[in-house]
Amino acid sequence: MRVPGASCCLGKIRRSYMNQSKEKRSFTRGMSELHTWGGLVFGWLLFVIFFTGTLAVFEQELTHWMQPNVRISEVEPVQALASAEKKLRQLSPKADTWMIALPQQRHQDLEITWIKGKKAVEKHLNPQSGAIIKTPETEGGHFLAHFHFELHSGKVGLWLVTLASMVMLAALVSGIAIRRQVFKDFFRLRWRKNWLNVHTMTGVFTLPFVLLITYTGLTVTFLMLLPVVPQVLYGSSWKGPQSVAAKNFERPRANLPRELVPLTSLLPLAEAELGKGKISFIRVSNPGDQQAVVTFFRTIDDTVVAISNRAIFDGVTGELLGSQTTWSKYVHIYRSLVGLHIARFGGYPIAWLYFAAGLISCIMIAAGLIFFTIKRRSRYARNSQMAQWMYRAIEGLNITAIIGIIIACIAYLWANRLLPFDIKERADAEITAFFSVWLITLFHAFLRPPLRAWIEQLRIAAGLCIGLPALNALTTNVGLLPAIARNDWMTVSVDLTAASLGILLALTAWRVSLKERNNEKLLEQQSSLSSSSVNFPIERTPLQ
Amino acid sequence: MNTTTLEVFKRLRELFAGTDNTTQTILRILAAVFGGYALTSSMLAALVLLLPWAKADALFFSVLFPPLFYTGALLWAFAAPTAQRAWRNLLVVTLSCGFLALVAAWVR
Repeated sequence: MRVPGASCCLGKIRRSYMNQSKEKRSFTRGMSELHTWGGLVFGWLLFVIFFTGTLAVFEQELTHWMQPNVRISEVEPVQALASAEKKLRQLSPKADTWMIALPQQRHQDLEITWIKGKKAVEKHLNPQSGAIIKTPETEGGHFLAHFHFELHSGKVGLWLVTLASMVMLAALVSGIAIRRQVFKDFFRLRWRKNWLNVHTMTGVFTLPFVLLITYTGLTVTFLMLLPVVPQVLYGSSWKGPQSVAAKNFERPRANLPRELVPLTSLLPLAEAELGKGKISFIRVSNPGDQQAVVTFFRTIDDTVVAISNRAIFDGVTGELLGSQTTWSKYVHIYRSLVGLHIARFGGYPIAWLYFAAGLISCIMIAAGLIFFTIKRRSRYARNSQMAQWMYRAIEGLNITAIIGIIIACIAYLWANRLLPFDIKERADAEITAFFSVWLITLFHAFLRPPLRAWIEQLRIAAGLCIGLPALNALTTNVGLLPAIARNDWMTVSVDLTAASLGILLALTAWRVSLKERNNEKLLEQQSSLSSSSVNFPIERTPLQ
Repeated sequence: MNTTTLEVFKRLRELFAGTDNTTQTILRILAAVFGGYALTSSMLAALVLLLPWAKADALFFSVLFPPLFYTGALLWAFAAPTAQRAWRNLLVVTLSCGFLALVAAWVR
């Protein structure tokens, strides 16, 4: 029996259901569009950011490795400070600012800097004798750390990295939205050996890390990029976050010469404020002037909050002007996020954890990029010339972004050892080497057939990585054996980590070349089976 | 108004009314990047002006939010059924937050 209302009602339900499913489909489609294309375009950049950022975890070790002449045995802080002070008084008594970085656990050299006007000079000292150590000029690991958030191109780079990081966050959310079963698969150990699965499984595995590192990184960059809050709150009186967070004791130069109080006599007083043996950095403003101010900064290597407690002294009378060891609650939270990002707080266990998680995230990004090309290979092969050309470009950029950046980074270390000792602008020459090598890998990736390019670049990267300890041993006296003999584990670990990464790369190269051989066999079978040449050509395409 | 400006307006109106896939995607990207920036700015302005705290506290508290706001806008732009809806959503929230911020600034 038909009830007139029923069909109408059913119709309504069906219509609303259809609407809902349409909405739903378009939501998933939107998310998958965002994940696929955002992931592709920014994936190249993200791999570069994640890889250099991962290396930057060991920024201090890399810098140490790149300054082979700076090898210092441990001394008391007082002795190091005395040497630094003597040298600064002798070399630049009338500077605007002196800065002294005392030897620390992972930053063993004694570094002095003096600033006059806009010119800053930096020297490394032997803390025992106070003599200047001649060492090749280098940016060290600092370059990689900086490159990972501004790509060596200032504010433009900062914006690009920020956008890429936001796409990363959005890709995590959209990735979960389009493939909800990945968590189930992950925990039921349904791990298959294909690129999509490598991508999703490593993605689930490093999800907490990637969320943490991306979010904390973004809070740092946004303070530099979004002027709206300071503008609204402070207007034109804004002088940067530092001036809001920290008490200010600096004062303008009086141009009345006065003898500077011996810094070594202030050190015990500062240590009483900040902790024995915890001073890492000292700044003297207007040395030799009546208005001299001496600030002692505490190390941040043992705390998550990446902000230095400080004690400030009058540079003439030596009296304590004040100290800052407590911070506003929100400064504390913000600097904790920074601390979680830079990973200095837990020593080597945390550093290695970040390094491993960073590498796995790199694999996640790389697998996603490779999967993109594999999924579309057959589709583009039958498509227009334009689509094929685009496919080829994507493949080339994949190679440049993934293996190219690895080669460029290791070439940066090679350049450090191979460039002549005292050419002009040596630090810049190393960076030029980094970028030129990267550019060469780009050309190589476009000129060779894709699969060949993958194999060749993997081999080059592996060779450079494995050869690094040998190069180090041949060109310096801090090679593997001498370094072990003098307990210089920072140098040893750079050598050995590079070599083990090289072995991993070599294994990958071997696996890919097996793939290539398989493909060739298939091709032969195909041609022997078919008499005519009007078959679908099996393309020589990479991986899988 | 001269003819070239009119022409530009016409072109823009055509672009913003586009329904084909490419135009939709371009519009979504523009909404995500520029609409997201505007949305984040106005939401932050409203947030710090409405918080009855000391300036320094509000400043360092506000730092925690831009990644969430901006990424949210990005996701929203791609989740909306059409690009026009995405633009409308972002504009409505941006303008209402901007209005809130103005009111808060005026009350201060």
